[in-house]
Amino acid sequence: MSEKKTYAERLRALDPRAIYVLLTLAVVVPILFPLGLPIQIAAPTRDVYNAIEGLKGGAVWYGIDLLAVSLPEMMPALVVTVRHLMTKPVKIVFVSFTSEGPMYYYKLMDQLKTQKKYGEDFAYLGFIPGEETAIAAYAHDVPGTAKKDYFGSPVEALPVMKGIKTAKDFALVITCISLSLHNDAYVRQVFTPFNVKMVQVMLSVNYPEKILYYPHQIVGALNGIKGATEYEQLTGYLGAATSANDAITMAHVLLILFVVVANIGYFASGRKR
Amino acid sequence: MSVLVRRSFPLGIAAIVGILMILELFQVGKEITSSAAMVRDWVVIISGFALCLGAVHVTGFHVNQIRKRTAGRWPFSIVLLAVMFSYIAVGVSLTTMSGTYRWLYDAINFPLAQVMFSLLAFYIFSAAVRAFQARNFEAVAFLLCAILVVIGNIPSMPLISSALAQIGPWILDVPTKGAFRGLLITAALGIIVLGIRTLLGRETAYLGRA
Amino acid sequence: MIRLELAQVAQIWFSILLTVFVLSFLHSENPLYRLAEHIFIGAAAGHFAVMGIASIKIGLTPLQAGNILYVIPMILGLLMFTTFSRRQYWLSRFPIALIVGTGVGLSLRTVPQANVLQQISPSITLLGKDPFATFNNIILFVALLTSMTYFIFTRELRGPLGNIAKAGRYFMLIAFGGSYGGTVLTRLATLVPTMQTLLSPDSLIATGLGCLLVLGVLGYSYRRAKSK
Repeated sequence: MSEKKTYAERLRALDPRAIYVLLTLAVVVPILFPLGLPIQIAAPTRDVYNAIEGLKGGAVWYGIDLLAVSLPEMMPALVVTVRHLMTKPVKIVFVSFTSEGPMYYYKLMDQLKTQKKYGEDFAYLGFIPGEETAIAAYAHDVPGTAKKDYFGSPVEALPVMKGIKTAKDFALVITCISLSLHNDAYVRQVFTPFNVKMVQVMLSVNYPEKILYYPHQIVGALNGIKGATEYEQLTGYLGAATSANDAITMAHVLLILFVVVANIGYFASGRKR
Repeated sequence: MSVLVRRSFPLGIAAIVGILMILELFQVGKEITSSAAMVRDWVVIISGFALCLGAVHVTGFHVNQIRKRTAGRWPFSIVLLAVMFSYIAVGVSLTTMSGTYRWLYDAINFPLAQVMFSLLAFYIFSAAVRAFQARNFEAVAFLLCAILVVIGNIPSMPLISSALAQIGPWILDVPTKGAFRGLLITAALGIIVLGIRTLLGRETAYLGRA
Repeated sequence: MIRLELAQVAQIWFSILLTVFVLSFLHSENPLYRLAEHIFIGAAAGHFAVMGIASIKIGLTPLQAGNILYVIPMILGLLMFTTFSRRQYWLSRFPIALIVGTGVGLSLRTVPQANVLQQISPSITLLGKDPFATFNNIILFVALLTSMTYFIFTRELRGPLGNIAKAGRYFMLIAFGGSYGGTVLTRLATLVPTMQTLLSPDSLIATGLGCLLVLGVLGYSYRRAKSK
């Protein structure tokens, strides 16, 4: 006679594809039938908004330090923050310390369709390899490290680069980061030596660990797509993050249901393994 | 002589440039500052070469697979090498600014990276049902905080239940921050010790095989 | 104009088909998934090489301007490739030593301030602007101290010290639980836009065709396995 399986054993024997189907439905249904759920703004997001809104002039260092995998999560935040920046009377100097950064720059420009002039209002200095050493080198000598912009023009020839020598010459440093070691590198090599105002847009997976730099070392932080959703609400530039909100909410609710059901059954069966 | 050149010289180089970087902090002289800046620039240039190492390694591995006609693998190795060399040919001749390169990147890299990563979402959910049970007190602590943070991450949660919505952010803001801060400080102390050992030549793991 | 549209349509089709091939892995590994995986690896390796070559070209600028010292990083960079040689691999230690030494120096001059002092100073401020803030500061301080105690390995942690370390362990479990919440959000933030792309009006036909291809290959593999 076969032994009766414990609840935990039956759960482990459950075909995972059934779970995949449920998750797919939880995501697909809100995409096809949007719910329009409202959201609330977190304090670190509001601080990012205030940091950009408070800019009265000067230059901004914008680091597009993203990997290809972060496109869906970070692109909305990248677009909305740059869109907000471009309403301010500031020069923006984009740079990347990841090799995928230049591809993000193109996507950003395609989505922004800005009236601002390249070379005068903003510039892109391309990808600089070397991780933390490259960030340190750039912070200490911007034109000497970058040498040319992404399109091959000498950095000194760009009007937007006038008066910019080190990180100290920037009014604000904003960086969109995929790799958690870049969060640390920016704080160590940019904030600590130069004490320049910094905000970071980080992946949600890195947020719990890297938010410890807020508010003493970084003045604001965006929490991945959640932060982007909040920022879109703040600025009024509704985009990809807001449209994904409903599906993300439903998937979270499904996860909570799964865990609750799994544990109710586990305890009801006398906690047999 | 051989050991001197093969081990001692690299250890010496690491120590000298490390000390140079530290001396720059104390602003001991213009020569030190300009030398440190130049060395940093050299590292940036060498990192460019390092980026090409991956392609060389991948080429060697997959050429081997094709030579050996490894069952079920070698046709895919041909595809891999064809794609890689197409990228290199287009990127070097037309540059990454060209429409062709951007087409390739938007058609292949972005969507594939995205979907590979999103597979993990399915596995997380599968694990949540099948293995996420509160078997002991430690598991309860982990599980409870995970669920409360997940609830807090729901953007619309504050308008459903403001009390529940505040617990997750509180967990991230207070105990999580404290614990990660402890981890960060401990790791930082370890980095300092490791750095000093490297400068003294006691740490040789980065030299690779003996 | 027509050529541009064709290119865009081809791009959508290509990316959607590859996406569906990768998602088929959720059922089981199959040749279509393996094809997409190998295309991805080739593309990633190719892109890194392209960016590396572009960086090297920019690195030649000082040399072209007459700064002869910049021959050194060029030589060191080329020595990196000796790592693949069985006999000459030791030559790659020179550029690696330069990179490691520079990194160590840059870390040592900033880590004490950034990761130690600037983390400790906000943590020891226990009095807050209100009782709740004070309570939070105390919890944060306790979590910091106890989690650091957990990592004392130089002596056996017994008695009160052992209990403090145990408390640190629980605080770290709470922290990792919080981290899990962030992980879930990141994965969903990648999954939802993937689904949005697959279900967008421009992509539906490509998605359907991709699904049919996958079903065909899976069906064929199943029948072949059954007949064996």
